[in-house]
Formats: sequence, structure tokens, C-alpha cells
Amino acid sequence: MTITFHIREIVTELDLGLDHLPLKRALEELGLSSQAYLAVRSGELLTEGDILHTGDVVQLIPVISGGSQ
Amino acid sequence: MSYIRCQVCGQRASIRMRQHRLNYCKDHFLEWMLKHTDSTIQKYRMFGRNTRVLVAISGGKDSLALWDILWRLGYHADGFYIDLGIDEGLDYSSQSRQFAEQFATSRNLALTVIDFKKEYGESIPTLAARTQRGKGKPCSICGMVKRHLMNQAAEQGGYSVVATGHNLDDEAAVLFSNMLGWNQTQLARQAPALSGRDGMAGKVKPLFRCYERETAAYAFLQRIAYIETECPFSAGSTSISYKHLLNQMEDRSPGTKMRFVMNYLKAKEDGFFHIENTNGQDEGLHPCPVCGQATSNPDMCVFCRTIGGTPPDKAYR
Repeated sequence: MTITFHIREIVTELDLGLDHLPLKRALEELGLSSQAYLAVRSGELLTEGDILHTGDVVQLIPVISGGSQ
Repeated sequence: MSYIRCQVCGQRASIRMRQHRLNYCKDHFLEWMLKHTDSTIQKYRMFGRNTRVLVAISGGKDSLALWDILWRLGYHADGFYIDLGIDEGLDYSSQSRQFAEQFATSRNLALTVIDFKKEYGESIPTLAARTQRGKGKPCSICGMVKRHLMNQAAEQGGYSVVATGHNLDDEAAVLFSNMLGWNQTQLARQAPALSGRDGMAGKVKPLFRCYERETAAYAFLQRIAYIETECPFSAGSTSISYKHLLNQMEDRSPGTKMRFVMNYLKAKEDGFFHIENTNGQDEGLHPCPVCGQATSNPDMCVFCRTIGGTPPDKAYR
């Protein structure tokens, strides 16, 4: 059973054999920093303590931008 | 159901800011962002209620979030966008310009647009390719052009200050870079507010105490449409790699980035760096004979030298 993550045009599925897990753990499993992405489920912004469930679709919005000063 | 609660109203939190030990729902976070930014403006004496502020708009989340915040706070803030002609098959400049124009139209705000290619005959990538400074490094040319044109627009429009959307992560990455090289000149210049002088508008960064994640959350929750794709020339940039490194430290020890920047400013204020008090601005400046902007070069400023003189229809002064 999987949780699906969309990062722009990239789709990643996470299956740890769990029914649910906190967003923080999911990001760690994906090797992503919680500082570098906003997580959105059904239009709602998630905090790292929010629980993700099997079948959830989560959009990860990259927040890091670069440029000269 | 397990979730983090807003510490004001007890509803489900939309954001957790561990560095501040704050959790807020959407409404209380948006309210906090306005108060936090206004407090930064006041604390660092960036500008007053009656100051005409020119906001440098890129079409990205930070500059549009800043403009939105200043507008909601009731400041007199107009926008300035430079179409750099960066497309590279991605229509980057065209798209970012659309976001900037849509934002201004939706809020009935004044936006000045400069089309660099139309005004100066070539795009930033073309200019970078033909100059020594920009060869293989268009960001250097781009930054210089943006600073010059923003300053020019501020002077011509009667704005005493230019506000940019730089956030705390931007500041931390630049500080990290400057410290790795112990670049004393740049360390002296890094400040949230630089006062203006003849030929040079003041520059302020009202979002410099906000994490990049917070400006992105603000833009998302306020439903601000912005360009999400990065400039094609920023791929692999050192500033982005430094941000990733700093985020790894932040994940392990919340507040690291904030302490890094804020304690640097305090150390500088305390004289730790033995930097002469130039208020961050370079001494020994004189007006460029072509455009009139302050420059430390013996002759023309670097902008005028790079573009090979000023187009005849550009009456700077």
C-alpha cells in the first residue's frame, strides 16, 4: 500500500508496509528536508506531525530558490 | 486524530516554526507574517508609512509575498520588474513577467516593467556571452544589471528605498559563502538595511527574518500565483547547495539558520569584525560620467562599460 508524492512533474511512491506514518518520517524516507518543501494534501498545508495514510496523494512544493544578491 | 494545534485558537495548525516554537493555523500564520514583517521594518528603520517604496519584483514567491504584505500593511509600495530575456526554451522571463503583471492587476498596484532586450538591444544571456565578466557566469552580469536598473528606476521615480524579497535562507547562504572565503568587503556590506546616498537608493530586505519556507507558505496560503520553476542559469549554483547544507543543520538543530544570521549581525554591531563604520556602503564613490550613478570605478560604472555606453534615448538625468 502506497502514499504518492508529486514533486512538480515527478511522481514518487512510498511503500513502507505501514498503514500510516507521520509526514516527517515520510520525508526522511524520501531523503528530503522538511525545510525545503511544503507538503499539501487535498489543498491543505501539512505540518511534519500530520499523519499520512495509505492512498494519500501529497504534493511537495519546493521552496528553495537561488540567485545573486 | 493526532495533529499539531494552533497555539492561538486550537484549530489544526498549518505551519510549525520550530525555530520560534510557534504553531499557527492559516489565519493566525498570515496575521503573524504581517506583524513579523512590520516589526522588522520598524526595528531596522527601513522606511516609514509615508515613504515611497520600490519593490523589486521577480515573479517568484518571495518578491510577490513581500509586495502583498506591504500592500496589506498599507505601505506605499510600487513594483518594478525587469524582463531579462531569459527564455532558454522555458519561456522563463515571459512567464515570470506574466505572474508579476497578473499580481499587480489583481490588486490594482503600479508596476513598472523594463524590457532589457528592447531597451538595450540584447538579452542578458547574449550580453553575458559576449563579455568577460559574464562568460560561463551569467548570474554575475544579471545581478549587476538588476542592481543598476533598480537603482535607476528608484532615482527616476523618486523612490527613496528599494525593497527586495531576500529571506533568511538567502542571507544565511550568502553569509556562509562570504565566511568560507573570509570576504571582509562583502561581510561588511551584508545588512538588512543600507541607507541611500546621492546616486544610490537605500536598499532594504523586510523579509530577512523569515525562513524561505515561511514565505513559500505565505504565498501558498494567500493563493499568490508565482513562477515555481527556477531560472535555468541557477541550476547547480553554490547558493542553492549552501542552502541544502544549512537545511540539513536546521533539521538536526532547529534555529541554526536564524542564530547564524542574527548572531552575525550582533557580532558585527559589537565590532567583532573590526569593520569601519561605512553603514555597509563603499567609500570613495563618485558619479558615473555617463549615467550619474555612484561608482567606485575610476571612469564609467561597470554597467555603462558593459553595455558599451548609454542608448541615445535614455535620459538618465
